[in-house]
Amino acid sequence: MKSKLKDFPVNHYIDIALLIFLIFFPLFVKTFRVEMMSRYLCFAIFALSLDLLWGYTGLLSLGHAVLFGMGGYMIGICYQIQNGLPAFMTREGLTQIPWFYIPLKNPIAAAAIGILIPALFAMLLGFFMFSSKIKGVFFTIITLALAQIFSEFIINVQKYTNGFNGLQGVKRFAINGGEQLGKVQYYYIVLAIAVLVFIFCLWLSRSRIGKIATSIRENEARLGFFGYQSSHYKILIYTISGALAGLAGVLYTPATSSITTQDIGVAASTAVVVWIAVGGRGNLTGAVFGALFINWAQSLLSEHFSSYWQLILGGVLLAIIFFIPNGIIGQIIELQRRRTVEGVKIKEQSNANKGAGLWRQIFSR
Amino acid sequence: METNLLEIKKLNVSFSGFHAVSDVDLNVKEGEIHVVIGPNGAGKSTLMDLLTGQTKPTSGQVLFEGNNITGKEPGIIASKYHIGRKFQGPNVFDNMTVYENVEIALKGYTTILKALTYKRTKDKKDKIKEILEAIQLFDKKDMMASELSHGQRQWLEIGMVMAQSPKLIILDEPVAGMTDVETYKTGEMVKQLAGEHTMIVIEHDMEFVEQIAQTVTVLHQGKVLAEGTFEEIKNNPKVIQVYLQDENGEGY
Repeated sequence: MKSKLKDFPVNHYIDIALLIFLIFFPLFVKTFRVEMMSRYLCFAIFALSLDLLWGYTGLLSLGHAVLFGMGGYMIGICYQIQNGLPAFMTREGLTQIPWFYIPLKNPIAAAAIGILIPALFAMLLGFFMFSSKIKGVFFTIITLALAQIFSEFIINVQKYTNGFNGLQGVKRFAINGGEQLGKVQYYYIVLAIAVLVFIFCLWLSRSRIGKIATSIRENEARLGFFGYQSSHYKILIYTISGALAGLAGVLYTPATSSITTQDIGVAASTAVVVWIAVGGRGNLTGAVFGALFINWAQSLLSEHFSSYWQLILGGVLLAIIFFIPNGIIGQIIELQRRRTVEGVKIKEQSNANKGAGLWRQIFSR
Repeated sequence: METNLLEIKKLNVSFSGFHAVSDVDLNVKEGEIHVVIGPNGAGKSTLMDLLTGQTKPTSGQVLFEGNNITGKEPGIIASKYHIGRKFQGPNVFDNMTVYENVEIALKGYTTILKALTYKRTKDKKDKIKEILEAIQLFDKKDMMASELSHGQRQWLEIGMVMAQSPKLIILDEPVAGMTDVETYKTGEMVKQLAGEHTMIVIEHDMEFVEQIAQTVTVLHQGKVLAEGTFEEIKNNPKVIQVYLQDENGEGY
């Protein structure tokens, strides 16, 4: 029993500890902190979606906030059109709500669309990129360009998106003009969804599909010679990742009550990459931990050292990436694994010595 | 008479005028270990690339169990015709465990729908265990492939090819970089496999070739120079001449 506890992966201890902490968190802090944590939990879901793509499948996207933003904007628009034509549309000369916005009027439908559209977009993009064998850094460059194009696009179609100003006054899922959810209530909903997403990602990463995705990261050519069509799997993972990023956006917008082009561009896309790099990629815990850790560090540092907090954070991030390239959680997992492997190695070495003796006796020259 | 599993007829390939393989005829009988030897640049690996679809031939035919597989895609040749190949130098999934490496290679779960239905049932576990024991890596099943020694990584890849349950196994220099003891062990592994599988082995190490070979084909400058048992090849004057010249670095 004792050894079983020791063998239990260390990151799952961290998962459970984190979950307990998050469940009791609202009991001990002011409501505005709870509101912040709901926002960061959305970022954690967002980070999980990228971890599937980058950490497991080895495809680094520098434009993942595009998919996040697609989800977020759907909910944003939903609450703009609740009471007829919003002011920014009138100002731009629209006389009625554009037909393609009408399905978004129901928040639940808008949420579903906010998951579906980024998923379909990722599927389509994945289809074109992976079928034409675009891989490695080229994928990264294309997604980076995409992030820039998308935020420019949102700014330029001001008529429909309120451009640079973004969308404000988003309610926490008030349905049919009813009351919106309380801040703490909404926090627990986001937490529950985050837990479900985490369990789903855990299941996926341990399933055969997850293992195949990892093999793509490790040695895509070899996988091809086993008869796998790796592009199919890459499209699948990208689609799932897109849906989860969209979901994160759908939950995020009501949590902050606004979404702007700041949340969807290159800067937002690189931020999530940094969270995962610091937490550790390819183990899910690292993505969640990284997202929560860095965002809290950011806001606490900015409260206490308002003039030079970015310098401190930047220094810490550089140090982490330089000294522990596996990321914080990645390093902890590695330490546990190395300990067990070393145990096996020592045992085996004594066996090997015996074996070598035997071989020498039989095949002495 | 034993049947031919693989027949190569008048196979040619040239890369911008250079004939890497010219007019090669080769028959591999069911269940045999067929070793292909030859000096560097003789076209051995190119010939294997032609069999597994990495390279398309300029002319000629490859028949596998009577089916024409000439110029088919590597994935198709692997999954539909069940030809497995161990590449030159260990070619494994480094940051995955030994167990996962073998499991990924298991035959029949390559499409998404099939992968979804995959379950680690008892017979699959038994099969993986059997393979891991055959390649002597069972007690290292939870180690990362990157933590194995060079020789063990070579064995792991042989195990992965076994997991494909191929009808034909191609081993490209399986003992390159191995110690004598490892080379001998590999030879015994290969011989054990020979019962159920047909094998083509490319190798330089003559002791190893002697240990395993039933038929030997010598390639030289893209052509078949000689074919026969190891004894016949060893005493063939043409082969001796080629190898001596090669070693003296004179060439033609």
